[in-house]
Amino acid sequence: MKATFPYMGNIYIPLKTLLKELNIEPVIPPPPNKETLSLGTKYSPELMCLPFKLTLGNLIKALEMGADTIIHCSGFWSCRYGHYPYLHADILRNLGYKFFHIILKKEELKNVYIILKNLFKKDTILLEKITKAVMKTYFKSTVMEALERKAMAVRPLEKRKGQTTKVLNKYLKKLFRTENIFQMKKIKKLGIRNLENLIDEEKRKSFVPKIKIVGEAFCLVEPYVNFNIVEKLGEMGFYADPFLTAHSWLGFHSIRLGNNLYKKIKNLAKEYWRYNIGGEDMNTIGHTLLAIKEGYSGVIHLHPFGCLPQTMTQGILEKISEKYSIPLLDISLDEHTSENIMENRLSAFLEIIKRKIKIWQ
Amino acid sequence: MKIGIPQGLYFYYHKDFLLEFFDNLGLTIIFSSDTNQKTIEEGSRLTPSEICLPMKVFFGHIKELTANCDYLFLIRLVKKYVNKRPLFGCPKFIGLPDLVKAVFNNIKILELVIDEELKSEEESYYEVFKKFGFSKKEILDAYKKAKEKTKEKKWEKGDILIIGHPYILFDRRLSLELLDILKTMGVKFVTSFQFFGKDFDKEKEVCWYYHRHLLLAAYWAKENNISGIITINAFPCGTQPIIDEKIKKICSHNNILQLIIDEHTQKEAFITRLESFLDLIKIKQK
Repeated sequence: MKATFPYMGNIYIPLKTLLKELNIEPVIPPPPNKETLSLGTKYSPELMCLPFKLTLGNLIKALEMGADTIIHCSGFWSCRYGHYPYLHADILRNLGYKFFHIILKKEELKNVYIILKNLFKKDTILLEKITKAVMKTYFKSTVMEALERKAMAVRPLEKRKGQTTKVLNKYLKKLFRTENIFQMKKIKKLGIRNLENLIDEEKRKSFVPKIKIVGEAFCLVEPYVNFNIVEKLGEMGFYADPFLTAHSWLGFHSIRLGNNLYKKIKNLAKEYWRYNIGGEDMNTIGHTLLAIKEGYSGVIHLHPFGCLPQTMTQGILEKISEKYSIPLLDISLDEHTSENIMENRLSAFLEIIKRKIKIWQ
Repeated sequence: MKIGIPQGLYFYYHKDFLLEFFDNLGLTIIFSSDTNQKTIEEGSRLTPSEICLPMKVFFGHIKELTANCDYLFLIRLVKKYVNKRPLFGCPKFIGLPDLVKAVFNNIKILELVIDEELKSEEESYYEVFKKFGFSKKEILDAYKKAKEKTKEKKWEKGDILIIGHPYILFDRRLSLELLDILKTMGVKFVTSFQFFGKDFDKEKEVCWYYHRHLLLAAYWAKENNISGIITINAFPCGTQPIIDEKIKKICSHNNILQLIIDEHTQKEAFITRLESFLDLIKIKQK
C-alpha cells in the first residue's frame, strides 16, 4: 500500500512517521510549485478556493509518482471543506487515475479500522502499533514545533539575514529523515542551541514588535501560498506569530489548540461570533482579540479568495480593528497573487506600525 | 410595534410561511422595498468587498429598514433534521446575524436560531416571540396553522428548467428580469423553487438545507428529458462550484447555460446569450 495525502506545509514530516509505523509506504509529492498550481487550476471549478486547487495539483503529482491510496481528512460541517474529498476523488477519477480512497471522519472510522486490521491480521498487534505510531508522530511533531517557534523568535534578532532559515531547514531535513526517538531528542537539543547562537547580542535587548497572523489554516501553514510571510516579517525585524502551525493543525479539530486555549478563544469571540462554521473563523476572531489583549502591534488576516467563513470574518475584523485601533492588513490570496504585491503591501503595513510605535514611545 | 423583514436571501424561502405566521399572531411586519440601484450601492458600501452580491443587497435592505421599524427579524439556520439526516444552512447565512450586529450598532434584532440538535423549530419560535406576551400554545398553534397552509405548492410543467436560488430568480434587479424576458419570448419554463421542501435519497454528501432542491430539480430534468437548463448564480457564490459541478454531472445529456451575475453585468449581453441558447435548443430539436 502506497499512500499519499493532501500536501500542506510541514505536515509531511510527522505524517511520514505515522504511515511508516503502520507499514504503509508514504508517497510525498514535491513541494507546491508553478506546475502543480497550474495543474490544479486547470482541472478544478473556477470559483474554488486556492487550497483546493493546489492540493489537487499535488495529488495528481503524487499519483503519477506511484501512489495507490489517498488519505483525506474531512467532516460533515457546513463549510464546503466537507465536500473536498469527494470532489477531489471525482475529478481524479474522471482524469483516469485509479486509487483507493480513505476518508478520515467520524462516520467512517470503523472502515479505516477494518483496513488497518487487514494489514496486521491480529487486533492486539494493531492496537500496539497504533499507539506506538501515534506517540512517535506526536513526539516528532513537537520537535518540529519547538524548532519552528524558536526560529520565529530568533529571526528578527539574527546577525546575518537569512541564516536562521538556513539552519532551520537543515534541522528539519534531518528530522524528516530520522525515525528514532533518541535522534529526534538530539536534533531538538542541537537545533535549538544552534539557533540560539545566531542571535546578535547587541540586538537582544531591543524592542521587537509582535504581529499576529490569523486566517485560514492552509494559507497560514503552507509557505508557498503565503510567500513565506513568517520569514519575510522576521527578516524585516518583526516577530511574526501565526496562531496555527503544522503541529497544532495535526491535532483534532476540537482539541487542536489545546482545550483550555480553545475555550478561552471561544469565550473571547462570543461577543462577535457565536457559531463555529469551519475555516478557523472562531479562532481568527478570538486570536485577534487575544492579540489585542497581549499587546501585539498589528494583525495580518490571510485567507483564500472566496473562502466562505473568512469573507464573513473579514467584515467583523474590520470593526474590531476600528474599535481597538489596531492596524489590520487583510490579504486575500488566489492563484494570481504575486510576490511583489505581497512585499509592497507588507512593507507599507509595517511602516504604519513603525510610525505608530514611535508616536507611542 | 413593527417588525422589519429585509427582502433578500433566505427570506424568499420562508416568505409565505412567515406572512401566515405573523398574521396568525397579529404582529405587523414591514418588508423592505424591491431591490434597486441604491440598495446595491448602499449595501456594497457597508459590507466587506469579497462577499457575494445578494448578501451586499441584503445589507442595503436592512439599511432601508433601520429608519422605519422597531425590530429586525433574522433567521440563523444552523442545523435542521430532514428525514433524520442533519442539514446545515449556507455557511455565510450562519455567520450573517453576527455580521449584521457588527455593522449596525443601534438596531434591535429578533434572532431566530434554528438548531435542532438543541431545540425543535417550534420551540425556537416560542423562545423568540414569548417576550411579546404570547403563551406557548398561541405560538405553537400559529406555527402549525401556517405550516399547514403553506404545505401545498403549485406544480407547473415546462420546456425549460431554471435552476437558481429564489433570492436571485425572483429579485427583478438581481436576475436582470430574466423571468420576464423569458415570458415575453414565449418560453414555457419552470423554476427550481417548486422543488423546495421535498427531500430525496441521492447525493447524500450535499448537506445544505437551501441547496438540496437544486439537485432534485436537476434529477427531475434528467428523468423528464428537459431540453434546456439555465443555472443562474451570483458572483462569488461559495457553494456554486460544488452544486454546479454536480448538476453538470447529473444532466450530462441536457443543454446547460450557466449565468453568473455581478454588479456590472449588462442586461443586453444577458439577452444575447439567452437568445442564442434558445436558438441552439430549437436547432437541436429539429
